[in-house]
Amino acid sequence: MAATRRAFLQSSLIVMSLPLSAGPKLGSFGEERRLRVVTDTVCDDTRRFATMCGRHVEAIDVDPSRCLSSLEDDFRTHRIDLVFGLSFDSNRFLVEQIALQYAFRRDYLGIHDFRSGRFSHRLEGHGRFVDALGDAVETNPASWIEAMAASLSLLSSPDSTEKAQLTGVAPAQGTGSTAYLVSWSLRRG
Amino acid sequence: MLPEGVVQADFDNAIGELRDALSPNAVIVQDDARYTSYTDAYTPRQLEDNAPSAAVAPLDIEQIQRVLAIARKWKIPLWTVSTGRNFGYGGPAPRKAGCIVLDLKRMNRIIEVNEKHAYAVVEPGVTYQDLYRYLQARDLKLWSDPSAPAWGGVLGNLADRGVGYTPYGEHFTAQCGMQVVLADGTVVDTAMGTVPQARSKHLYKYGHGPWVDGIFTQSNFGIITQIGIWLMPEPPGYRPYLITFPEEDDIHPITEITRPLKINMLIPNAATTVGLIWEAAVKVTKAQYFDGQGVMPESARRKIAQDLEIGSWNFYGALYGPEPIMDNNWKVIEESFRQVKGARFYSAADRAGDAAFDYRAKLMRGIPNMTEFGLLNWLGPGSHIDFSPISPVTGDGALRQFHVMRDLCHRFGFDYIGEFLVGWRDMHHVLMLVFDRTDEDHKRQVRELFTALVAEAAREGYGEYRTHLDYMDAIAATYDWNDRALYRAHEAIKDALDPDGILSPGKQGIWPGRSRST
Repeated sequence: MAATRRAFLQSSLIVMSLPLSAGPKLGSFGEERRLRVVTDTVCDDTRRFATMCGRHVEAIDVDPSRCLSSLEDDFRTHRIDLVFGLSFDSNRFLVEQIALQYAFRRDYLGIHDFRSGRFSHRLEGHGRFVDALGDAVETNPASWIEAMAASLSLLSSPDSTEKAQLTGVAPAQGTGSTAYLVSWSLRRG
Repeated sequence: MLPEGVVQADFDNAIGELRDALSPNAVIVQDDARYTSYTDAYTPRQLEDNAPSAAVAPLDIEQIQRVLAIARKWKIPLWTVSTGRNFGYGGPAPRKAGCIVLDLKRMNRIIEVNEKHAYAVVEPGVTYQDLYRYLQARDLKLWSDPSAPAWGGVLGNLADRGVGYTPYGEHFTAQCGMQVVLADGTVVDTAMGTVPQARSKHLYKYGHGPWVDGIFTQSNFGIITQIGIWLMPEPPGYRPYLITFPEEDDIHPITEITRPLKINMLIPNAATTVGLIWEAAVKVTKAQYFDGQGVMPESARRKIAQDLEIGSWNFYGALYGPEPIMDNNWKVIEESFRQVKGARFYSAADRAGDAAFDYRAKLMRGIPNMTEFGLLNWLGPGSHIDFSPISPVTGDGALRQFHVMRDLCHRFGFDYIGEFLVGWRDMHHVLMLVFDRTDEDHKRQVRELFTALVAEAAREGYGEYRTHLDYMDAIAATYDWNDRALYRAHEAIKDALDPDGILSPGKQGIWPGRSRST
């Protein structure tokens, strides 16, 4: 039996509350913009991203029910204006379908396709974020997770300048369990 | 985007009247951020092909009546949804682009739960998750029977004749009592509910005279606003189990063994025989085992089976009741299935930590969850539409249907991702067609495959129990004995109850008179 894989899948479904010092200075941005970061618990990349983001992180387990309920409560009560995710595509879909009901719109989508031990990145949407992340990934492809976390504050305000960028192939770090991740942001209004 | 035959000025007038009649916030037009939530996110075509012109979300029956009056006045078709989450069959989107979606999810009251008689009465917006939480919060010893996704609507799933996994798995069988609003605004309580101060409204289904509840399911003859549903009393014991079988053709003996066990209720629940990839995809992706294009090779399938300790078929069932009864039933079940060479038996303890077993075990005891969506990651940006023919519970029938469906899937480059759910005398064969929604070629291929499946199933004598928006007409056309006598009867009822043709045109292939030639 695939014990290691199964152990990943059984990672507990909790809201991770890490000290701000563990994160990339997201604290004030998160408080002001009422940001929530959503990640899967099932692979090294998403868990590394969660660690980088510190608090405001909502972890999605193999059964996303609890996470979705929590998010919907926050959407309904206007506790969140912006959701950023790094996840499997199925979980992006679920969060997005709920968020749409509360007048959120997607303003960024990144596709991180993992094949044969390497990632390619296709980024589209929010101009400043795409520029910053795209440049960082090209400069240091191994650190795309860190670059993404470090760029999140650029999403603090909308950017109607649509950008699209397809980066070169980047070596993956620490991933062995997933083929296809997406990053995304949903903004109210 | 406008409803067919409606000019912009009339549409604008109707939208204005709807806002006045409900509230501005209850009317969602195309520049509203919420509008996208009314499209078919999993469409194998383009979003516009089934896009609504607007949506309207009433809070109660009185508001529905106002909406109907405006729709009749301006001849604007409405497409009714309860929660609109059934994405394998089209989600909230209308069959015909331009309809206004009548979204009932804000009508979300659990009106009554009766523990003594074990039933609930719910409005359309109540999800399985809502009902489960309600029962848990009050420590009521009752189970609901959820569809695989927790966000499914109790009423909507029943009205679409959906199925679950407990002994109450055939949802319409558990229905008792219904309230319907007709197109002219008349509110009808069916069966016993129409007796003044009815005392048996949710206890006896049929009342006096014709029993009409069925004609409001999978139809467009009225708007169901309330439904009674029997719930299962919590049993004193529960034991889920999994039996794996190594070979694809084992579906024959599995089915032959299942039939008498089910008919004699030794298998009390809607047990499920799950194909290898459906079982695996909750836990792994295709690219982890096969980096090429098209159908996964047999060697990769064998590797998955070995790694995950699963079979070509994986039979999920459960025992319910006092321990001695479960012990006795298990002996019979185990002895029966042990006749199949290579069968392996697993309890919950054996599969502790197994995500696939865990979500099946939850479903068979009425705990809603969302795990099954994970299998769409099989292909990365996966979407799905489902092809769902009914099979007899016979080895020959199941094997034949499996071979036909699998071979067609493979011919079009798709993996077979399917399962058989056993009902009282039938099996629902659900074939999940997972496709890459970012790939226009793949979308075209899945459309072609679906069309071929409908035709081939009809040739073999199989009908589908339910279908995606895009194939409602095609499947309706296969129910055509005696010069479409059944559908001509449907159309006569449609004309009588909805002469303006405003309710869900095209639902299950039933069109109002003015659209029948299209």
